Amino acid sequence: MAKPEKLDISVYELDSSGRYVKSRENDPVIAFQDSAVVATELPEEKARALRGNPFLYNAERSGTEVYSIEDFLVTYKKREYLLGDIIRNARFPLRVRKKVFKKTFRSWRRDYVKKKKQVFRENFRTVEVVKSIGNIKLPFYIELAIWAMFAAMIFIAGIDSPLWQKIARGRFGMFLREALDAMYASAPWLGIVANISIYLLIVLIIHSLFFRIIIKDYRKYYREANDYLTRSETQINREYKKKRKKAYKYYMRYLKKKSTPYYPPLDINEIQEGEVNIEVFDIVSKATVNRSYRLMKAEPALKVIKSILLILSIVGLVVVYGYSIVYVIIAAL
Amino acid sequence: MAIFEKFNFDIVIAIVIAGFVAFALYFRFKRQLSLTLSFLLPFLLIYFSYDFIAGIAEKTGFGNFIAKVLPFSAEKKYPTAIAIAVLTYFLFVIIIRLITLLFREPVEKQITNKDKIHLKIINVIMGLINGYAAIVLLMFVLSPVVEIDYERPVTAMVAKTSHPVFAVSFLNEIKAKEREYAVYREAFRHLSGEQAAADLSAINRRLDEVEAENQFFAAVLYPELNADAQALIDSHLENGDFISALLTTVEEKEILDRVIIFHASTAILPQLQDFRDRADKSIGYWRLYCFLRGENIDFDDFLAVTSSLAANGDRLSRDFRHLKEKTAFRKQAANFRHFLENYQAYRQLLDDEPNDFGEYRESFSALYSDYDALCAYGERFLTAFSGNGDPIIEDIKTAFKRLLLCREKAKAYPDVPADVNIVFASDDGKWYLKNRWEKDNIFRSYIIDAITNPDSSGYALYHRYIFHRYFDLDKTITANALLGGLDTLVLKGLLSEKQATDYLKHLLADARSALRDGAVENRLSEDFYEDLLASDHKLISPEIKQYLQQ
Repeated sequence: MAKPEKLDISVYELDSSGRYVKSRENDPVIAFQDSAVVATELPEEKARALRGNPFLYNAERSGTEVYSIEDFLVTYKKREYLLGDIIRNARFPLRVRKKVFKKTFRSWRRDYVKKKKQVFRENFRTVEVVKSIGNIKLPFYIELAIWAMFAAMIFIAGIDSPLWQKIARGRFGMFLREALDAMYASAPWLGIVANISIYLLIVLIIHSLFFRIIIKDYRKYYREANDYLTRSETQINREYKKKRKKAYKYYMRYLKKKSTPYYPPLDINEIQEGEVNIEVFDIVSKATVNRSYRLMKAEPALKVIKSILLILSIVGLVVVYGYSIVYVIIAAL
Repeated sequence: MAIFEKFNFDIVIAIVIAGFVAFALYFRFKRQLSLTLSFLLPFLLIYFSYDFIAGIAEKTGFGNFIAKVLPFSAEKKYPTAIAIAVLTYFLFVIIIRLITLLFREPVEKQITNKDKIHLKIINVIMGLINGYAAIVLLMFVLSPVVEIDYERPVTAMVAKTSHPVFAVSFLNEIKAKEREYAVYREAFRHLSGEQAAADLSAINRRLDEVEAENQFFAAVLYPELNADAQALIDSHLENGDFISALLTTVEEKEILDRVIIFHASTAILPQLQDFRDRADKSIGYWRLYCFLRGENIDFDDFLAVTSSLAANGDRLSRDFRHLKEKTAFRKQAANFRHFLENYQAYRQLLDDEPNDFGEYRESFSALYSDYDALCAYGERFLTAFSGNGDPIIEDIKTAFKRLLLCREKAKAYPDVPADVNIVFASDDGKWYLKNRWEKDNIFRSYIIDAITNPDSSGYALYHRYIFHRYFDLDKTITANALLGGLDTLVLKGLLSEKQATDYLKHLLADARSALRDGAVENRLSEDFYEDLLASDHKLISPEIKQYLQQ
């Protein structure tokens, strides 16, 4: 195991002119605080933040500026003190300081593990549950059928189109065109049905095209989010263990009889959450669930719309083609 | 429900735009940006790189391979050009998608970085642009299979926003011009009586064939018939009209059939049966011949024939057995009806008020070559027919409205026929000033295919465009001027020699070519065809020579 780095500490004291100068004493005398800062002296908002867990602290999201783990509040004999005010206060026996420190660390650890478990377990459960939803896109063969229906309707409705002009150059083509022309003239409502069916099919095509993209995006997103969650759980655990161990060792090294009491407080950056943390994990998993939920909520409505559009288009196609076939047969007789 | 009676592309535009905007609101900014880039950027890249890519395709033989794979392409250049463009498009889409994947946000950033309102607005703008591009694409795909009404407000607006950078929109414009031209051409033909005259001429050709059959029967078959048959025919013969006599029904049998029975085992039977077959084949025109002769109508008397056909068209059309002939005849009768209904009104609007149909046509011939007079007539026409809803009159009104809008531009090109001139001058004269089709391989392919193939939809307009825009023609059109114009096109690399020869061949041989336009035909030099025949110009192929000799 690597040796802890030797700290180069300089102690400054006030000289007679009121300026800070480097102490020339080997064992400078620093006035011990007679009374530690207690929570009642802190603004309530700051006190609430400092009652939290330094391993869950996030500088960006927290409204309170914290510099060290020692700024957090601990309870000792039913009174709240800053952690630094206890472990650095010579008025408290070393045994008490150690006991308070260890107890606080245990408490933070329990709190962290509880929170982590709760977030991980709950989120993984819900993320697993939503895995199978989002099945609103149409099967490939139905999409193919929609395109075929669209082509068929365009064909039968557009008898004045350049395509039909070419078809009508042949005898049979001309007969068909004449028959269909006569049919639309005798039953104008058929033209309306054909046109409405075309519009419905366009809506259906746009619907299926976009939901194909949405579902594809969702699945990709879900896969990535799931990967992220699995990856970040391991990373969070590893980082937490490392930071806790480091902080614990750091303070325990100085909470000894012969140790110097003049050591710098451990920077909060060494303790606080990294970029991958429980909160981001929670946000990602909740967003995944929310997104899935939104899709799940919209799914029945979308399915109904899809079915209505599909049924109406099929009805339109059957009516127009059925009528046309009968009409052409009668015309041929 | 009236809105659904005809296919309305405005509704399609509304559906597509609504869809794209809705999904623009759903997608995150970066996703929408990625979709927009991969959808639209390839069009821009194709515009700048297509000629280079087409060159590579040609050098590597890929172009030829595509031409072989596409069964309908034959010798056409356009299908191959479009196929290469489509493949290039998808290639660019893949490349852009791969590049955008490199800049993909991690999932936690996607969640924690929420889109601000201004990004949502940009998303909607991108959605509108994507929607517009999708509409233009849809218009391009649907135009051959659906009759799109380009007069609808939103559709017209979309159709007018074409630009060569977005190749599909420019191709839409090229095709829209063809349809526009067809409408104006028809409209002016109806107005000048050219359509009615052409219809009558077509009918007369068929009636002349029947007359020839009449004379053949009188001279060849009748003398060979036995006495009973001759007596039967004579009893129904009036003014030497054997056809009417033969088609008269006696006791539920036509006399012609009875004559055939009389000669069941004679040498003349095969000739009579052939005669019967020819009668059956063109029975509609045979009956029409009988009808007109029965009414004592001179076939060359325009007003008498057209009035009679307009009044009896539906009844007479029933005699036509072939649907194609029946349809054509009904259309001709409808054209006569329209013309006769409006003839007096059209005539009165002319300055010189012609006395007969011949003078009427001459007046219009003069009118179509004098833009000031034509515009003045157009103004009078629009006033006189302001409330008329007849589709042909509506088309004439549209043509005049467009002409009046671009009269100054049109007057700058006085030798270009009015129907062609309106199409290009109403486009702010862009096609006269900038030869945009020359610069892009895809457009060039389309125009070349159009002008070298009379069956293509663009032939009527674009071969005229080339004729009037590229050939330096004087008041009198000489063979040298025509060949010189073609030489210039070949020298500029716009046409190959083969394409120029094809163009010339169809220009000379096709009945609908620019050389057959009245205004152009009158300007041809006296020895135009002789000079062409005498010329040993490299573009005059043996096929053309053969045609000229005929």
